[in-house]
Amino acid sequence: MATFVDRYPDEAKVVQASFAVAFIALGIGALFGVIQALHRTDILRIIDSVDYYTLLTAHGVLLALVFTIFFLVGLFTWAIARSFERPMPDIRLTWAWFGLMTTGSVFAAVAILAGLFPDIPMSADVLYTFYAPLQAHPIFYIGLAMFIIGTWMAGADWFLAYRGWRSENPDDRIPLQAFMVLTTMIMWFVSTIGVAVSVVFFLIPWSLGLVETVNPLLTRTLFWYFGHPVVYFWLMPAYLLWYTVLPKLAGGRLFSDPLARVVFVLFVLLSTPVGIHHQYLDPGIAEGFKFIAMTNTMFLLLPSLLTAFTVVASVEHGARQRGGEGYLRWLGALPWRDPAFTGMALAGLMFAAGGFSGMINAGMNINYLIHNTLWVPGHFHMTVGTAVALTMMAGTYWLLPQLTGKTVFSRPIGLLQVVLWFVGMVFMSNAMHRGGLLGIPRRTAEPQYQQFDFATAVGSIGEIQAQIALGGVLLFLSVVLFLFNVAATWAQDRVDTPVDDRIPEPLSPPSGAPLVLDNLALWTVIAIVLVVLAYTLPLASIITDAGLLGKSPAFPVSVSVQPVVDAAISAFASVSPVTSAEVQPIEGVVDRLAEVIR
Amino acid sequence: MRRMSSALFLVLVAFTVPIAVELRTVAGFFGVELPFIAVIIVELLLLAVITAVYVLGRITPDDDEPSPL
Repeated sequence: MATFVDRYPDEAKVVQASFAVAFIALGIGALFGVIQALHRTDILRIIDSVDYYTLLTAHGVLLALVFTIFFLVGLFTWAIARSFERPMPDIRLTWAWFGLMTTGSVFAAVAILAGLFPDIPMSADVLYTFYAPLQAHPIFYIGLAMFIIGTWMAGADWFLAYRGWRSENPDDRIPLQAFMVLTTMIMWFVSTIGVAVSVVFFLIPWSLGLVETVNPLLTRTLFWYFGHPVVYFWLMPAYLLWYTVLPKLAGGRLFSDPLARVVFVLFVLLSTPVGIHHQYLDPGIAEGFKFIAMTNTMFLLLPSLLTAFTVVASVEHGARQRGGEGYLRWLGALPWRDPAFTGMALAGLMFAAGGFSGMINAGMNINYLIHNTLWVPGHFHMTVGTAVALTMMAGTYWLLPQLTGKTVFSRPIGLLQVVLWFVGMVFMSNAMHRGGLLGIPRRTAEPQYQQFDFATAVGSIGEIQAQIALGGVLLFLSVVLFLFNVAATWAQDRVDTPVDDRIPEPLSPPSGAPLVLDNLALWTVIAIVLVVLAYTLPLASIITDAGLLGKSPAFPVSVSVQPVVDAAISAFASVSPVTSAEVQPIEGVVDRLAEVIR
Repeated sequence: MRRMSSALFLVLVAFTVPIAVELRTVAGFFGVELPFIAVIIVELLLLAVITAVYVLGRITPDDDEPSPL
């Protein structure tokens, strides 16, 4: 029986290439992840603490941007060709955006990793949020710009395919998977304007020395204008797989096509005007704007809860089709041997927990308790690190046979791999959340302050660190198993029917959905209006306060204690005799700083 | 008596690990500080109980099962 690679061989090559880049990024990012986990828990230190930030930046960029988005573009290309039942309009355009994205990723990665080699005059230790006034080498920003433009070209490619399909099917409903791709890309086009303006108009000229200063609050706000929708850009491929593939793997059918469309439309409308909830502690943004962002954020719970209901109902339907009965016994009838099903189910479960911890992040008052603590990485390792990443890995076990014509090398290894990921993440994210509640900071190689003990409600700091390290090691082992299984699958011989790739019709078909749901132009206009309402006044206020280019010069990226010592010495030297009598003698401070340098 | 596959058991382990870890944290909120070994004991207990219920018991009677009355 013909599968995707037989029907669309050119598109299958692009999807395979996209997945290959994604998995290379996953491997490198995971290696850096386990090194960080062992370093900051002080269990094994093989790098210098100064290099920690280089690895942290590479970990964030390679996993949160390169792995997820390359998988997304591969998956969406598969979904567009499959659901429109036609090849891409021009395969040269498809290869062009793949090439641009790959080149941009390589530029950014080279700029970051060069920071590990002091002889190379290049670094980008700015973390994946690249907040100014931390400054990276221009190649980093140029690479990011190329990457974003590549995704725009990919979106244009998919909309051209839609236009071709629509001209031949003027009265048909948009196929569900294509609808999901197109709505996600509308959200992406609207939201990436923010980061594009920030990078192209401010950060690239600033890093090239064409302008001397930058407005940190403006570039941060433009980043988060994009930074929260990017969360949904990661999540939407997972949702696509949960809605359309998971019910099939469970042995059933999607519960409701109209409900799925409503969810994706809600994400188009609600995901962008909420970014300020990442800036609750930023001075310069009025509390009222933050309150509005919080309210908008809480509305986002609605599509998430609709998804939980629809997906669980679809999976239960599948279990009952397989003979499952009772209130809970049907769970035993699900295909737990299938790593694709099990991985996606575990990812969905973890997403529920991540959603609850996300509500703490989103609550304006309670956010102050955990802001910039280890709680935050604990949260996003549950969401993007598991709901998204584990779904993508699990989905690979079903997609790769369609793309290559080869069966999965080992399903038991696949099953062990997805379970290992889930258990590893339980240990790591649980400990991160607990550590965050105690105030342990994020984004630092040295979380243990001098002469300060964190008081734990349960257990000890050492136990929390042990859990983080154990979790990190299990996660790394899981990635090793995954990459081995994928590479071994690629090396297999082709077979006639590598996988059953049919997706059954939903129980509630698209004919039951109001026609207005397919009116993409209408949702785009409403999304833009909501963004204008949410961002015009805050941005005007920020620009009025500090100007378009701000007053902040670049902060040195290369970490050195010497300037701190010089500044401290000059500060103490200028302090009045009355004040200096109340603090330690200057000589003592200088000695201590010299000790830190050593 | 139902048979439990090794895959289902593996997934059961995955489901119960977070419950065991969090139960200890919840106990701590109520002033009951359990040692870390308690997580392992709770995990084993949870696995034993759920496996026994699944293999031996039935949570609801089947529709075609005759009424005991």
